[in-house]
Amino acid sequence: MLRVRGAACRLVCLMAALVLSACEPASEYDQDCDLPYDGSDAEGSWEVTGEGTRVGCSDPDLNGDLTLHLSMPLQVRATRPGEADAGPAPVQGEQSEADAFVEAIAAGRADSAGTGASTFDLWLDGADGGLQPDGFSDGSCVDVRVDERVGDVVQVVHFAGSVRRRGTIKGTFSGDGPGTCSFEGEFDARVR
Amino acid sequence: MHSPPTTTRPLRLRAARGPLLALLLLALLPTQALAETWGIGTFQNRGVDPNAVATFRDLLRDEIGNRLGVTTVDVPGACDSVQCVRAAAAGSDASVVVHGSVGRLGQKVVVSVNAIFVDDGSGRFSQRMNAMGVEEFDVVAARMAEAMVSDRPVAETAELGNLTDAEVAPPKRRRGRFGGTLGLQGILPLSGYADEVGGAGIEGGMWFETYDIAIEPRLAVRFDMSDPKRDYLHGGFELGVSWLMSRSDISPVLGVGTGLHGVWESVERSSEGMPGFQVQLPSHSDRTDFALLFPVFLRAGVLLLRTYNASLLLSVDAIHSFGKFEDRGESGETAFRLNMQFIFGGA
Repeated sequence: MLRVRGAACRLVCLMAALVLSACEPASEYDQDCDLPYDGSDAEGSWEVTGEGTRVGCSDPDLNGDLTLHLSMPLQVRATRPGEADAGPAPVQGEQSEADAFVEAIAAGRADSAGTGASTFDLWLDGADGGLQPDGFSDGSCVDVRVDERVGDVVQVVHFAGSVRRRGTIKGTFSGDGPGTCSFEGEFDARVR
Repeated sequence: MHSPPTTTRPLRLRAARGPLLALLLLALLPTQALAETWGIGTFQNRGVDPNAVATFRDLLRDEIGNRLGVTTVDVPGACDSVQCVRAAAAGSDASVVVHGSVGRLGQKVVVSVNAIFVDDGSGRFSQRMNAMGVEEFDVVAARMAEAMVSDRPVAETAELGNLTDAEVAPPKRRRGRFGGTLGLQGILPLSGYADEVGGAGIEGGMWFETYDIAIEPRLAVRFDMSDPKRDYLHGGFELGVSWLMSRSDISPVLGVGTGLHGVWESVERSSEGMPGFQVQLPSHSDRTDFALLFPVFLRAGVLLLRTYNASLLLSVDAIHSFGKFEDRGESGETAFRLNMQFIFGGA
C-alpha cells in the first residue's frame, strides 16, 4: 500500500513538472483580446516607440538591431464596421471624472468580447485612399497597418497589439522595406 | 792416479767468449744507430699559408717517425725533381726522402706526398689527398703516414676520428643566397577588409635567391589604420616565388604567391531613419567575424642593391583572398599592397 502511494505521488509530481515546464509566462506584448477595452480605447493620437531587428537588406548598413519611433504621431479613428469615417478623432484628455462609469462600460464590453459586438474599423489620418480601413480591433486587440511610399521607396509596418489599459497599447510590429529588408520587434504606444 | 784432462773445458770457454762478448756489445749499443733514416724534404707551396705548410711538414715528420720507427732528418733545398731531391739528400744518412706539394684548389687544399729511395731514385710512396682547409692537416699527415706503413691507398686508411670534412659531408649542392627579410606594408582595399578600411602590416621571413629565382616564405600581421568603428586583424603565412629579371644591382621582379590567413574583422553598422517616412526605423549593429582565407597574389617590383649582402625590395601586390565570413555573409577580399622589404644576410 505504501509502495503504491509512493509511486502515484511520483507520477503526479512528474506530470506536474511536465505541465509547468510547457507553460511560459505570458508576455505583455502578446495579443490578449479579452481585456476590458476595445477599439474605442485605441482611438486617438498614437506615440509609438519600439525595438527590433532588420535583416535581408541589400545595403548591409540597414541590417541589425533597430529602434522604432514616429516622426509625427499616428492619428487613429475608430468606427463601427460599416460606418463611414466620421472625421478627426477626438483627442483623449486626462482621466475624466466619471472614471468608474467608463470602467463599467469597459467591463460590459469585455463581456461581449469576441462576439463581434466590440469590433471596430481603425482609420489613419492622412493615409492614402481612405476607402478601406487601415486596421481593425476585436475586443482589446488592435491591428493597424501603415503603408508608406516616398518616391520609389516603400515601407509597410504592421502593428498588432492589445489595449493594456486606458491610453496604453503594447504589441509586436513587423514589416518590409526598404527594398528586400524585413523587420520585426515589439512596440509601446501611448494613446492621447 | 789419472787426472782428467783439463784442456777441453777451458778451450770451449775461450772459444765461446768472443761471440758472447760481441752479443753483449750489440745489446748495449744504442738501437738508433741501427734504425733507418728518412729525410724530410721541402713541400712546394701553391697558394697556401706558408706557416700552415711548414706545420704540415712537421706533423708529417712526427707521424712518419712514430709510425715507421725511423729517424727523420731535414733535407733542405727547394726541389721540383727527383734528381734534385737525391742530390739534396746525398750529404745525409737518409735512405728515403719524403717530399711533395700543398696547393689550394678553390675551397679545398690538395696535398701530395712522395717518398723516393735515395740510392736509385725509385718511388716508395706517392699519394694525394684533399682537405677542406689547413685545419685538417693533422688528419692528412696521420693518414699519409698510415698509408706508408700499411702500404694501402690513403682512402682506405679512413677510421672514426681521422675523417676529413670532404669524406664526412654528403655530396654538395650549388649554393645560393640564403638570408632573412623584414618588411613594412600598406594596404589599399578594393573589397572586404571591414568595408574597405586602409591598413598596414609588418612581416618577416626568409629569402633564398639564385641567379634568376627567389623563394620567400614569410609570416605577417596586418591591421586597420583609419576607422575606429571598423577593425580588422589579419595574421598568416605566405609563400612567394619571384623571377629576378636582372643580375645587376637593380633588378625588376615579377612574382606570384599564396598562403593561409586567419582573419578577424569587426564592423559597426548604423543607419538613420528614412526622410519623409512617418515610421522611422534607425538601426545599429556590431558584426564580428572570424574566417580562414586562402590568398593568391601577383607581385611586381624592383630589387635594389642586389649584388650586396643587404638589399631592398620595393613591390606592389594585387591580392585576392578566397573564403567567407559566415556572420556577415560576405565572401572574399581584394586589395593592393605596397611593400618595402629589407633583405639581409647570405653570401
